[in-house]
Amino acid sequence: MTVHMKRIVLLSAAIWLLSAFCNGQGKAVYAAAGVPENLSKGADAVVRDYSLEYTYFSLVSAAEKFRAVVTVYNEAGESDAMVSIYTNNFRSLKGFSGEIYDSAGNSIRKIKRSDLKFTDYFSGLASDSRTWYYESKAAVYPYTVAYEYEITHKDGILSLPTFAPVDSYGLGIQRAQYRLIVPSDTKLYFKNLNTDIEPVVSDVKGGKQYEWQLSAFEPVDGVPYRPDYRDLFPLVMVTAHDFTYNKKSGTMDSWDGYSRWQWSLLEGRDTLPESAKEKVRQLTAGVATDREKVAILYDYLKETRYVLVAIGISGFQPMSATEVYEKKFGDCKGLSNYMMAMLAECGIESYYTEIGSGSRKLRDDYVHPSMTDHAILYVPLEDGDLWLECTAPSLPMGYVHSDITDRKALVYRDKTAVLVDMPSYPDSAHVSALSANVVIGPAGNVLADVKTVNRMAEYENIMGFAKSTPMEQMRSISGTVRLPLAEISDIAYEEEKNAEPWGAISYKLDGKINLSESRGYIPANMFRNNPSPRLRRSRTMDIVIKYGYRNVDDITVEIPEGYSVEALPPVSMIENRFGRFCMLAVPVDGKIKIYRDMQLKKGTHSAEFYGEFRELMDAVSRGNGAQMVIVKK
Amino acid sequence: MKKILICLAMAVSLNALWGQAPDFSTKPGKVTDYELKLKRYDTDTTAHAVVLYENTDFRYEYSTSVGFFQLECYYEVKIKVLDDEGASWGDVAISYYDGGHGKREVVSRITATSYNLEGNKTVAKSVGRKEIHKEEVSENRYLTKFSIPDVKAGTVLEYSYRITSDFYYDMPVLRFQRSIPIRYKEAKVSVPEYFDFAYNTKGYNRIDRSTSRGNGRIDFQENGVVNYSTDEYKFTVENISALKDEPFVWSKEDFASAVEFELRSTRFPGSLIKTYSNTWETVNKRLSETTSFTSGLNFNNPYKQEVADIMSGEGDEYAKLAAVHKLVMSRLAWDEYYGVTAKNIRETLKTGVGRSSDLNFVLHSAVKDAGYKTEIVLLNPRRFGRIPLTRPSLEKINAFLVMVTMSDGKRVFIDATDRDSGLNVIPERLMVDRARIYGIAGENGWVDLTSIAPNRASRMITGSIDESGLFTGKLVAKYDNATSLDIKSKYRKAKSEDEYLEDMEESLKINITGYTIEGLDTNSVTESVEFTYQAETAGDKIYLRPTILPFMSSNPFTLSERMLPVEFSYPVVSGYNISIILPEGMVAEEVPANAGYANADKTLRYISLFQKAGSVLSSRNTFERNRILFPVTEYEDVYAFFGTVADANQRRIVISKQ
Repeated sequence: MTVHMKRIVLLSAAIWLLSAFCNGQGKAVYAAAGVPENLSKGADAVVRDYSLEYTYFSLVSAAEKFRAVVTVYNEAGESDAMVSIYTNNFRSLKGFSGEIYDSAGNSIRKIKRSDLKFTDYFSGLASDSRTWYYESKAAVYPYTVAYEYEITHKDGILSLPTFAPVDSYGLGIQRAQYRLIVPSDTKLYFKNLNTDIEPVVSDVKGGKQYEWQLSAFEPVDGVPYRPDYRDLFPLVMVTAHDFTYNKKSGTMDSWDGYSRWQWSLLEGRDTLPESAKEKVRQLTAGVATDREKVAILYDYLKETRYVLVAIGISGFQPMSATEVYEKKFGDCKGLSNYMMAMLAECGIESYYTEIGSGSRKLRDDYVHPSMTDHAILYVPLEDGDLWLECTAPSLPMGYVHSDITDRKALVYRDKTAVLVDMPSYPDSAHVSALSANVVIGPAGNVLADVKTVNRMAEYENIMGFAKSTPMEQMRSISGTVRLPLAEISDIAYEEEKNAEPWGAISYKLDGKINLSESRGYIPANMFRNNPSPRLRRSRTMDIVIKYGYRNVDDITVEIPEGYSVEALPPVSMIENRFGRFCMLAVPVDGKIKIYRDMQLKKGTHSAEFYGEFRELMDAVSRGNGAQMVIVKK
Repeated sequence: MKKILICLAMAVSLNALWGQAPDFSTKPGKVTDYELKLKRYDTDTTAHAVVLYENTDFRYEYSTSVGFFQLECYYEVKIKVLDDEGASWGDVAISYYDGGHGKREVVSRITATSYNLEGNKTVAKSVGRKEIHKEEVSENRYLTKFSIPDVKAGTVLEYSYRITSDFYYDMPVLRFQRSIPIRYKEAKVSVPEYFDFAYNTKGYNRIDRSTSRGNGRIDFQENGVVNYSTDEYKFTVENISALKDEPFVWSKEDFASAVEFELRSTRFPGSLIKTYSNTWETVNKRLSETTSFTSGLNFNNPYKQEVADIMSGEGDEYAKLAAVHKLVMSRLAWDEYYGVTAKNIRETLKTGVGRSSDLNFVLHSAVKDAGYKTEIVLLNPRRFGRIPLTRPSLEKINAFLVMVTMSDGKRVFIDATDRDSGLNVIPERLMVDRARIYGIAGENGWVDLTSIAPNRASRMITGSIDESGLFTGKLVAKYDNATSLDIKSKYRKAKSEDEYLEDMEESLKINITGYTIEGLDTNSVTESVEFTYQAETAGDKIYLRPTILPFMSSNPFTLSERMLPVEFSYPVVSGYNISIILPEGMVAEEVPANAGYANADKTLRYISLFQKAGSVLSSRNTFERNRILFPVTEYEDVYAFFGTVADANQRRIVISKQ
């Protein structure tokens, strides 16, 4: 940190304040009429002006100034104008001011620092962080909210701010700017996602300035089967080669550099007290194979519950294994580290692993700490590797759940970590197979035996079934049955918790269909209630199917004496790039056999294939609602 | 389900046995072998955890430092964790109020311990002082949080704490039902002679009680000692079932077992008797002495000119009242907080946003200024529970709206928190069955806001069908009062009319070719929809629903048994009248038989009638719900009614070649 640098900051602060002041001249600036129509059309809110200025003084200190002007068009847009400022031990809020304007640009009220509410309400046990917020509302739309604040960073900076002015659907951007000022010798890494904007680089006294601009971004509609926002909205990530956080240094040039820093937080956390070691030895005494030992300890982990703990350095450092053992709770980091320590006690090597869950994924072409949000444990064994989800030891050992499959993970070993591919399963492995035998009596009464077997990711959906109360079980089954006045009984559940887990729910049903003197009406799809997504007529956005799966139904319906089949749903057979739908209902020996097979494939497709997608989904939806008619002979 | 009920019933009859069971301990810090070894709770085998023992003890202590009585509330609970899911009962959060230098509650003397059986040894682990965290949730509202160590399936955990409250007049509700079963609970309340309390019990469980006399003393050191007598109350319950969520319930707390104490008066030595709101008269009086209420009531109309313009314009008194209501709605928005007293009306006017009380005080001022006879109707929004019939109190009053008496004597209710509302069209969340007119003390102060206007949805579908089963026609739907509010908010929430129509197309499986909507600013909205619909066909046969568009085709109740009463949204009449022209050479081979269904007292009815006249086929389908509250004893009837209607709606009109 040089003296020059500080002067630049002061100067640029002055310019910034001046520009803010100038913007304040004349109410027209805040009038909603100033938004171009292409941006306001279909928008919940439009960011009129967004400016982020970040002055990076040193590895451990920086000043951040932010200003936003947001015009809100409806209730859904209110959250886009919400002030939300996150602070913790490393970042503190300095100044704040704001103002709300009506549609003509007249000031309605000012927002002072003291108007900000804060909450450290946290779903976990404890956290050092705090969020300051302000929710604006006005009687009449549109209205405009303008606010600005400063954040001071001290004691360490992990990564520089990401430029992401678009952070929700239905949000348009008129003009956004990110100005980053760093000492000249700072080596930076950039990564653009979904945009090709480049910074204008200029020399400023004693330093270098990078400036990105984004303007006229039209709002994006959040339709079903949309891409993840990370694949859609423009984003520029920035890191500095060297960083210091929590008094430890690392580099962001590679995952290796980042991992060496993270290692310093892991090191020495994995020792267990003698009583814990004794417990581990006791549990695994006389057990022949490593795999069995892991299974026993993984099962023992059930006695340690999940509690989110984010004290200290904002959730980067696990609670020590000793503490987790004594408290019998921990978060994903603490639990993984604890399991690792227990395995080490019986001579099994395992490795702490960082990963991004759900749509958050590690990249191999760029290093940024925000790409991980979870920890698991990697256990290489001679007869096959294990990826243990220590946060949910009720998951079958050896099975990798759908939030962490098919991506890269950072496996820590020998002071660093390497990127490793997680296992992935084919879409066709995730099957829900329903079989039912239905007998319709002369008065329209229905007796059915139904069984559904769910495998792999589909098993995850019913994993909680065994633990639900009978009332909850009854409710979840009743919700899928399409016959009114149905009584469910004899509910049974079995499951196999192995690397390819499955669970089977079976039950008996006593219900009725509408049977008159002449005709009877039977739903072709009696035991599934798959809501059909509401699809728009046209589409410009990619179609993304995040999870692939397969549903197969095999139903036999015995119709009452004296009736014959009059109408069955037409045969449907569609196969395209999105999946497959096949439905057949055929009369066989006085019975109706219904076969239904629906498959969706994981993948991303261009909107030009939307017609095909709709064709498939329409067929599914028609099949879901199809009816069969029987008629008196 | 049936099995569980039987099980519970048996448990109740076994009460006496349970109570004596020496296997359980009610001593603090004492955990029995039996409790530790317990694997499941026989009374409710589905419970994730069970409260083995709970004790609360409320008493008054004179604090010489504060210089007045404080309420000391002691809480103690022992919970058995039965499975992994029950382990979250080891995470405890205690909510309390701290007004800084003003009145406050203080949480103290927290103890929390887990007990586990390891081999033959009982291992106890406690929460340390440093492991207790404080969190600010909102202004003046805090949580004290701790997680008890070593809580897992099989653990017995126990914790206790004390809350010392300056709010001596506000005794917390004694709750006897939780989301897990309670094996045994006792609650003691000790009240000095200076306080006169009334209490009220509610819920479906038996609460045993006893009272006795006791005494207390205040030690003023060198100034002497004051002795006083006390009333000692003791309540006990055994084997209380878990209170579970069910659909069609406004507020399940209404049905939870509890004892509510309410202060009627205080009479301290040397001071006059001070009464609290124990009659509607005193409730009214207390409000009339509350400046933030009366200042709202006497607030001057801020829109004098606008109101004067409306009143000197065209229209009858109803139209003008509607215009005044619209005026206020167009200026002010609700911040989603309820209130009875004014917070800051000037600020609300300036910013255009405020709590319900500020908005309705402004509405009241404008309507009053327009020359109408106005009154305030006090209420509790549905989700907060009902105003007790027998225990007048301000505690269960959290909002109000405005009542206007017209020159013809008719009452009109208006509210300012929903911009789509109107005269006698108030948001569903305020449509309560018990509201109180401010200023009236007697029984005639009650008003029922659940059916203040006839709510209707009448749909007329006319059109023709061709040989391929394609129906081409027009739907004219008229929504009156509460139903119009639903349509208006759905229409306004959609980003565009296109999006609204696409949604309609997708949900009804129709193609819309023309659309108009009228009356968006009134209580009667009419939609005209021109559409085509492809009916199901097989061979040369066409199958049409009696209502053409889907209506009540599934039972909203999925379970045949239920624990809590059914509470519907509002009374309504909803109908589909159909008229279809058949093409040349096609006939209605079968029309369903005319049918009518009703529940026992005919407050729920469904009628489906069909008629053929030449090539025209018509059907009338009407659903009426004239009652919205049904006790559990009527559930079977309600369930069967909706199931039967859904079943009837599986029938089809069959059209075929002549």
